[in-house]
Amino acid sequence: MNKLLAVFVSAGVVALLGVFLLTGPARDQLFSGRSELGDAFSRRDVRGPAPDQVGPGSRGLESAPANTVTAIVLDYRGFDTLGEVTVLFAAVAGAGLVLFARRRRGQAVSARRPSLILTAAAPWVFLFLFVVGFAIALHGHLTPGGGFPGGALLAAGLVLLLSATGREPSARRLHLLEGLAGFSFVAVGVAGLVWKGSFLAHFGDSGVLGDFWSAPVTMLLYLIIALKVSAELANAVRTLAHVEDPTTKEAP
Amino acid sequence: MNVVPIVAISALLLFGIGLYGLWSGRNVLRWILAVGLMETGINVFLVLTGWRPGGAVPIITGAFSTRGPSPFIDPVPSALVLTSIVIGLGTTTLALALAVLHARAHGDLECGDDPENAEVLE
Repeated sequence: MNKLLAVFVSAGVVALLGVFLLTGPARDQLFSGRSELGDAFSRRDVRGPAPDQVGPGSRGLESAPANTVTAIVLDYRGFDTLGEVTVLFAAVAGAGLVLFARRRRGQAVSARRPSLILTAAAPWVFLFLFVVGFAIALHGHLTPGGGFPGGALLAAGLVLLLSATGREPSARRLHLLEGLAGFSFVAVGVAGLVWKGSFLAHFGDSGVLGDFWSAPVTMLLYLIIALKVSAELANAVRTLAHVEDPTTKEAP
Repeated sequence: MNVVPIVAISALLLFGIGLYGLWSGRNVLRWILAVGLMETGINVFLVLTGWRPGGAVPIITGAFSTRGPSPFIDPVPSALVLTSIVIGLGTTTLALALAVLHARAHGDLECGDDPENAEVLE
């Protein structure tokens, strides 16, 4: 009975949303195919006129990354990304606070002996994840990806290696890495304030669009984000590894 | 071929499956998964609003004229969804931690049928 009601309610809401979003004025607004702001981002002429032709080899554009999404995330809206990283930090810190209001010490609960397959494969998979993670993070200004997926891959490699060796990452080192990365992000922002007159403004020679060594500040920020995300995720896994299983504790 | 209706209906279906998951059970993990599905549906829909016929991936790989119409899709929804995915990861982490707390207090992940809640509701 309850499930039937749920089916009807969710189907009704979806039908209402579908009618509202896919017909009438809302559809004309959402799917008009026009976007003044988005096109200005694509042409790189938000603050002033761009050259008549933009393409690989262009110099001196107002935002250097070839990837427009990266240009928006780290250049035009870099301050917003600082807030995003802060939210991620707050969420992981909140999870640690909720689970361990009192200080706990000791071994991870699920510290079973690693299997042969895990111990044999872990170094190679770690190497692969390490290289691919850094490559994705460092190519964030040219290709899809960037610091967030790169950092997730680094964290996966770290957790894999540590679970294969049976040790756990040092909380102090992870906190140090995370704090240093967060500090560096703000330091890059302050450097922009000092040299260019606004927080997180990109300083230095932006290089040739499409080259690997272009947009150096974007590259630096994505590297910082990758390190910060990997430290945060490894810390989250470490926190969860210390949680005893509450559902089996009270079993007879 | 116009992809908008197909992708839009898929996005709405994902949202609807999530909504059904929220309504049809009392398991906390089920709720967290359901909210994740709803988020995915919303993200797909947001990315879709940036689509335009013939629009290229918003990465500059060839020269284009800045005086004519833009050859790219609208990059703004893609950038916003990038943020949305990361925030979704954070909220899911926190929700899972709260689920562990609930399991510690009650011994299971079922929610909403506690006797003290029933008293409040009556």
